[in-house]
Amino acid sequence: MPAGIVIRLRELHKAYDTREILRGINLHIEAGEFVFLTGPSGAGKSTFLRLLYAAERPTSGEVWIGGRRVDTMTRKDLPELRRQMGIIFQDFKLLRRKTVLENITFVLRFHGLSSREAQRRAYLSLKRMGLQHRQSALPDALSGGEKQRTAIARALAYQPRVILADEPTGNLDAELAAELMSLLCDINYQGATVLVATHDHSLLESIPARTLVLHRGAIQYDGSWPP
Amino acid sequence: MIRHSISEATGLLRQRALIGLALAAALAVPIALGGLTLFLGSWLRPYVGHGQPTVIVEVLLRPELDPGERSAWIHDVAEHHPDWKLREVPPQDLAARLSRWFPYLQGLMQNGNEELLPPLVEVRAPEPDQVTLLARDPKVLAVGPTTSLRRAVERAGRRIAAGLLGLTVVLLLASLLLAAVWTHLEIYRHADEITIQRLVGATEAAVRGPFLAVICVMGAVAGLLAAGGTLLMVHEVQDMARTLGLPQPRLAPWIPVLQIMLAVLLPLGSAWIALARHSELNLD
Repeated sequence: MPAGIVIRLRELHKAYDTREILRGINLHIEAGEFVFLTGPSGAGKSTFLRLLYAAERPTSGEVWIGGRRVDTMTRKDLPELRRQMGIIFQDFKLLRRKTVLENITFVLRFHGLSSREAQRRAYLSLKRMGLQHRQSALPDALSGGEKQRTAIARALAYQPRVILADEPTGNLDAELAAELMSLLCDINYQGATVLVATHDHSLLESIPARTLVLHRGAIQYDGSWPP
Repeated sequence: MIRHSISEATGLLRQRALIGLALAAALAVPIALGGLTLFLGSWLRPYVGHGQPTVIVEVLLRPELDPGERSAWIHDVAEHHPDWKLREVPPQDLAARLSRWFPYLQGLMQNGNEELLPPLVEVRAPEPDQVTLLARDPKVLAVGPTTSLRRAVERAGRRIAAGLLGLTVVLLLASLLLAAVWTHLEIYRHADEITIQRLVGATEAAVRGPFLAVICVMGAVAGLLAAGGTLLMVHEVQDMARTLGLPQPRLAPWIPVLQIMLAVLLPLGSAWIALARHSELNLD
């Protein structure tokens, strides 16, 4: 694999029983690229991302991240892979028993940070998302937008080299959505590879970036937006 | 990682303190019974014959048999029962042996009348009941003694030890199953959290640690309860032995230590297997 390629997919197929979700996807994403993945609901965007962070295994084909083959990776090696990624989940995936701050420090501790350093970084990340005043709240007490921002703060807190975001602005108002995109652009500018799955066309128009259009399980378009 | 496990385990314990305590008590019962079995086993060993695989039965022969006939009889019986060891009790020991049969005639027998005493043959046999069949032999006056306190203790000891051992094994298996089921239920109760932890890069050790720490705490509590329960039961047995005039039994110090170790290690092993099996499931 060439040195600059961070994500490479080869003949990627994913099917649930007889229903084919992804059909023979070939793709590579260079280090430092900002890429949108779009398509109608049910096009397979979320499945595409889940295959990248190995929450699912492909039916056939290969998934390579940072030079390592993911689809054949053992469970033991998965934590290390996932710690290299910042994943922003569509359903937030916050730990309900932990406060907003703890949700972030919890992840930072897996990166080997001391408790104090993890708390400092978590606070800074929350501050960047304008959530420092909610640091002691439990996720159930947060609004949809606040949960979304907490999930984003968690994903960005440890400055990952690859960011995968699944509908990151789905619960945010236009102003916060623009702020988030600006933040992702900053992080991308610093060298991180960003892949954002969205069905929001206004988001695609906000940033000139490579756009992949997924339709019926295949990449229908790969280029700048609008086509 | 250890600090993380302890902190998470504290949260789990706070949430499920009562159930945890009930589980510890359920685990303590078989381990306490196991401790009692070991204690009774070590106390009753001389009686139940674990140390000596054979039991001594005495056979009283007819007094009219001369030494030649007695030797021939002993030879004949030994030939038919190769696993028995027969020995004629020497005349100087006869009075002491027979005084067990006829305690009220002890004075008469020890008063220089040894030549009048009937011959006695000592039989060491693994199955004393087989020896009692010799009573049908016309050369035999009686076989025994068969109803001593020692025999009663021997039989009771065997039954109690076997019963307790069986009960302990069944209860222990039930408790281990309980620990495994509890771990499974807790894992499924926290399935979402575990999934999230894995998705954000938590290692298996970080995911399993809190559950194992909780099991360790519950096992330690169960071990202490079991050791305490065994001490109480030992105290009762000691009282009973004192009343019956039997040798005073003592609890070996390694028994409570073993109980605490088992109470921690057995459910830990059970939980380890449950967690390992769970990690094979694709919850992501």
